[in-house]
Amino acid sequence: MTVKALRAIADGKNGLGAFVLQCKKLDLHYCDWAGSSKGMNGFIKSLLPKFAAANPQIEFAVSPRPGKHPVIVGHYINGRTKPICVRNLSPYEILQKVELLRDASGEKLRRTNKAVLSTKPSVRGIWSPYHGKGMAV
Amino acid sequence: MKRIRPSRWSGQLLQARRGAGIPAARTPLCLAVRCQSTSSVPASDSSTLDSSSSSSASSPPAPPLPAPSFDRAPQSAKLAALHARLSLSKKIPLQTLARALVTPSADANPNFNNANLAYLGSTIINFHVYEYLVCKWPRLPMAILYEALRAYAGDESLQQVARRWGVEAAAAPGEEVDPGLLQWKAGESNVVNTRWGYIRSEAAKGKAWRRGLSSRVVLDSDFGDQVSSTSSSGASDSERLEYNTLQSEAFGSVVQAVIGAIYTHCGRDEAKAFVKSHILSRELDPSRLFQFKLPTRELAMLCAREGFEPPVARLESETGRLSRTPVYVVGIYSGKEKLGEGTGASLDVARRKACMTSLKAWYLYSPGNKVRVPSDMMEPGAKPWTAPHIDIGEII
Amino acid sequence: MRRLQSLQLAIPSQCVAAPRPSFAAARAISTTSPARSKNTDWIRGKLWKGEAPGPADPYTQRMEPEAQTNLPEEALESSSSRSRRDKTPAAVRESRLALPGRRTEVATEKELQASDPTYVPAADAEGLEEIGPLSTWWEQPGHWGEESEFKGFGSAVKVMEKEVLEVYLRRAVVEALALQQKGVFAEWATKKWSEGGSRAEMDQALAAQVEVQDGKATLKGDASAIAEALTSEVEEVESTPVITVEEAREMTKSWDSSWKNVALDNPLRFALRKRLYQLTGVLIPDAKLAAANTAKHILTLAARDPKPLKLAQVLEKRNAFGDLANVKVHERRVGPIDKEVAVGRWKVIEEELKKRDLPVTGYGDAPRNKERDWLTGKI
Repeated sequence: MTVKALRAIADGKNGLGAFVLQCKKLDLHYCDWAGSSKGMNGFIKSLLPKFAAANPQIEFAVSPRPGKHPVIVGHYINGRTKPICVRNLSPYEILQKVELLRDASGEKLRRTNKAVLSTKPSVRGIWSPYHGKGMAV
Repeated sequence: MKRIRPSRWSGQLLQARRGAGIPAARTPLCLAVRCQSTSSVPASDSSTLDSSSSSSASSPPAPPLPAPSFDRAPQSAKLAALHARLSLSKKIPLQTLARALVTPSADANPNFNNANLAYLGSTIINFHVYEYLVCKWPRLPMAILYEALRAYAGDESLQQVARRWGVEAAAAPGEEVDPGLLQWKAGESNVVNTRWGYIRSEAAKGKAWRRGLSSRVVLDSDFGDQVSSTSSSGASDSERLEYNTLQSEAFGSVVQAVIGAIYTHCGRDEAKAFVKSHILSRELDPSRLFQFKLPTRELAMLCAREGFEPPVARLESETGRLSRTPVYVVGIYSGKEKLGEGTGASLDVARRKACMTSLKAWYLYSPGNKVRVPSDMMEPGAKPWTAPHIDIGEII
Repeated sequence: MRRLQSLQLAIPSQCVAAPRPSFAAARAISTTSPARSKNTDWIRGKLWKGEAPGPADPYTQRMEPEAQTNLPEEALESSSSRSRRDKTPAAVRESRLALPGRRTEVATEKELQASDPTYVPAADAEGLEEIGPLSTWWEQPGHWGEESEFKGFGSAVKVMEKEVLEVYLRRAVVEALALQQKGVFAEWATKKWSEGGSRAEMDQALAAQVEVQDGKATLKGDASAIAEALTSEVEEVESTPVITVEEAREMTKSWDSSWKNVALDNPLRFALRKRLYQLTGVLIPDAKLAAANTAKHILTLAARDPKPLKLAQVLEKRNAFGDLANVKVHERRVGPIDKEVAVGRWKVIEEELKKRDLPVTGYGDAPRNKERDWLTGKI
């Protein structure tokens, strides 16, 4: 046996083949009494049914948290969470926050300088000084 | 590929399952090891299941179920979200998906765990990955082919797939747990359920006995691994298998069981599309799998076998021979054709690297990205089959 | 807390105005011993060079306060009898409730022996009555019974169903009209009408016919009997009769709906509201009452659906997430135990805690966090 095999694991590429939404769960906490939850309660009553029907791949857990400001917590597939406090926001402002959480990947926010990040090697190849005609100095 | 006999399972998989304590109607399929040796098959644990279920029926306070009841599956938001996240067909009920999340380590009763679905799914996954690998890289050596298969369809890889689906494990399986969580626990002696191979009677002779690749092809499991007999994997198995192995097996069984469920409820084409989009879409560079011991000799033998002129290494370019960091570029030529090129800090390293490049160039021949695989012929209105390139075999 | 039974007999059970103990008795309670004063005589002699003024021990022997006042004799008499001796507030003094007794001081052993040579001091706690601490005073029998509980004017049981309310409203209208016919309405509008607890009274009121012509209502029936029942001073013990919804529905169907068009003037409006509150416990707010011009309006005001308080109840009522399997609405806060139960860890935790004899929830015998009480000023 001249060739031996090394172990490796294929890398998953989300979106190549199948796309799995990274936000897997949204916790919506509200308070029945407090005024800062007014918008949140309105959101849950009026906008959430539509939003939840449009995003069946997210699990929604609506639960009261008496005496606290309303919070939306997004749980992501990479294990991180993203909480947003939505006190005193109107239902449509909360909808924007929820959409933000849905579209987030769960990663920490990073500055991206390159428009494209690729795991494939460059098609053109890397320039080599040992090939070609050489360079006259 | 070993036999697939879906007709044996589909009836049992499709039947309604309600309530626990129904004695196992058949012997569990988990004992899938075909024994070639003279040692008898250990008695299945269905008898113990029978006795325990009958005793629980007589005593009024029923003991808690080992895993959540399937009646609770429609109430679980987690399960519904997972169903939607995988874009599963409506034909697959949530109960089946819930069952795919119950591993044999949590619930030993094969009527309620995913062992059978996972076995069905594993054969489908392995089949599709295998045909893809063989058609895409027809010259891969057998050892590499096994590892490439493992890289796609092995337990570690499938565990990653399951985790990227958002499958979470329950801390401890039980009746009250959310049915959308994976039910497994470590420490239980897992019955190997996704392997099918022969028990080697020679293994008893000791370590001096050597497993050849041909015997691996014939006797061993899909990944070329030796299947241990269940008698030896009794008490020592739980100690030998580490936590991580058991965990990846549990998570991997979810993916396999989901694909088995798709096959059962939606049919072959759906299952193939699912395997293609979730498992074959993963990225693997097969050139990372090679490990050469004597690349120069192997290349010489290859050229001799194929009737090429013997390979010659030529120094193409160099710099800094007397410096601290010299660079040599060596090309391997067979006659006038250049087989490969490598760079290294010494002449020998550069030559060996060039040989490896040449060998990889040979082994990793691919007819293209759009290869047709045999299962494509099962689609209605498929074009006539053109035989793919079949390699004569690897260099011995 | 214990006290001598014999002493309890001597002291009146209502120890509200306990007599002030003598100074000699107070001395025995003091922590300083009188024997110490002998040791300080020499320094007193040195300090004062002769006869020292004041008592030998200023801490235990108090001077008799000399009241210097310009008040006349009788004023002194009356004030000394009550205000100086007893500083209890008048509300407490006149309360019907059994209040806890004040602390009393008993005569010392020496004094008792001086007055009664046969006195033998007790050597054990035999014969002592055991009474609870002050913190459980109101839980003890006889201290806070049914007679002490608040009883409101309105019915304690609130009627929610519209049909039942309509029956009661009709009764109120009939009764008000009956009083008007008898000519005692002006007198009785502000008084409390009899509660009308019995079923017979109610049937009597409902049997009367109301005929409305252009908002003007006339009563056909035994108006005097109804008015008599209302104005009687008999103390009833029966509670308000409970009508089932089906019963009420049949009753309302049998009536002509024109009776609801009876026009209301201010006294009638208030009388109806008061009577409705008395019978059903539904109080129409003042601000809305002014808009009610007919009995129908009163009925619509009274028969409001109770406002759902919880968002979860609203969602359940609307069935907002009925067909969505991916939404879970929790009625209660999802606490740490709920989370552990959902992942199956709670049974493990419970088992381990029980194995170690630790309380599963709460603190068990261990005292609560005392530092928090210090910070919040509770201690």
